[in-house]
Amino acid sequence: MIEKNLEELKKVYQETKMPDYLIYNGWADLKFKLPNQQNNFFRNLVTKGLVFASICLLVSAGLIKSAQAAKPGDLLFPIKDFTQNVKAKITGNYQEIIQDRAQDVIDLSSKSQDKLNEAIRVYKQTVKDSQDNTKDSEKSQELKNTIEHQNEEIQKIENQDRNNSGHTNEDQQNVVQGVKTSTEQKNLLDNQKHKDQEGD
Amino acid sequence: MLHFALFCVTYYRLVKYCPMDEIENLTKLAQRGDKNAFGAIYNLFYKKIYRYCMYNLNSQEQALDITQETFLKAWKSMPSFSQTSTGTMQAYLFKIAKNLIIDSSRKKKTESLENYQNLPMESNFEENFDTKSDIAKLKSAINTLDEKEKQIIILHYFEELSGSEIAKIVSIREGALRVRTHRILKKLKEKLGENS
Repeated sequence: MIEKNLEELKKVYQETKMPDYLIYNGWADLKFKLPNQQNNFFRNLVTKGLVFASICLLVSAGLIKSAQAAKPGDLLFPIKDFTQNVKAKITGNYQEIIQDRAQDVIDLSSKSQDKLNEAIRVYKQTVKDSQDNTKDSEKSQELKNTIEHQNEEIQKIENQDRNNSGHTNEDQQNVVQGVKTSTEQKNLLDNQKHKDQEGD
Repeated sequence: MLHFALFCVTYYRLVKYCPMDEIENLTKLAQRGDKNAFGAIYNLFYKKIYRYCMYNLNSQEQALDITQETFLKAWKSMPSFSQTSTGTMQAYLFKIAKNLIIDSSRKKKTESLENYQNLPMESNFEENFDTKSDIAKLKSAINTLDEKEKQIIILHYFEELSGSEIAKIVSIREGALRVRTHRILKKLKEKLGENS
């Protein structure tokens, strides 16, 4: 019964009278109101671009933030290394990155041997790069001295290391001690410099 | 050989001039900003959209406005139209119309009852129902259903849209739609006292 009534109602529904306006002027009037699709297309493209750029920015910021805790040999370490290098190149201050690498060596001295070796390699590479980059800079004389001092320490310990057969924990401890000493010396020099400036 | 050639020609014509294929081509052109292609889409669907609005709103003036508004909105969002996410062009238009009808009904509710009673009845439904009391009762019963159920009945029984299209319009899963349609029919039967 209901099915039959639904069929009847469907007929009434489908026989709905169309107003003349819609038949004769509906499209003509609407056509004038339609905005230019090209503009919409570009607006849409710009919106999508902005959304994509914002997502990329957020992801990059998150990655950089997470990478700050990475140590040599970690997956995110290259990101940390890259951002610190960029920062050092822009500001011309290489002390921070060298100190950070030295700190990595100290932190990893009690961890796995592979990671410590990697930390030492990265440290030496950073020192070398910093020396190359500050070769012609007048301002960075102090930094050069620090780097050279730290480099000498490493070189000395490495030579001792080569004379012995293979790497031992003792060798690594020497390297770590060398880095520690040079970092402490640098910190002492910094403190002395600050005191002198305050005295002046 | 001749039969095979005839079959190929017929098949090609069927495929080439199949309405769905034609609508897809028109949609692609409209997405690139072709107003004439959109005009062809308008001519294909404006009657369906108008009668759908008319049935829901019971006012010729409002149905006209919402029909035009539906196509205007569809044109504006044409660049983001995608058959996979929004369904067919027909489903897309019905969905826009449905949302506009709901918005309009909400506004209508805020108007005073007094103004309502003074409104002239512009629908041809009521006149027809006076003589056909069973159909009038059925229409009243449909009007007592909730908004989603009412739309399912209209789109399924009166517009004869496919299950996937209705599912997209009323935003439910196709599987759930079948169950729901069955339940609504049962509910209508109960309302009309057919079960007793």
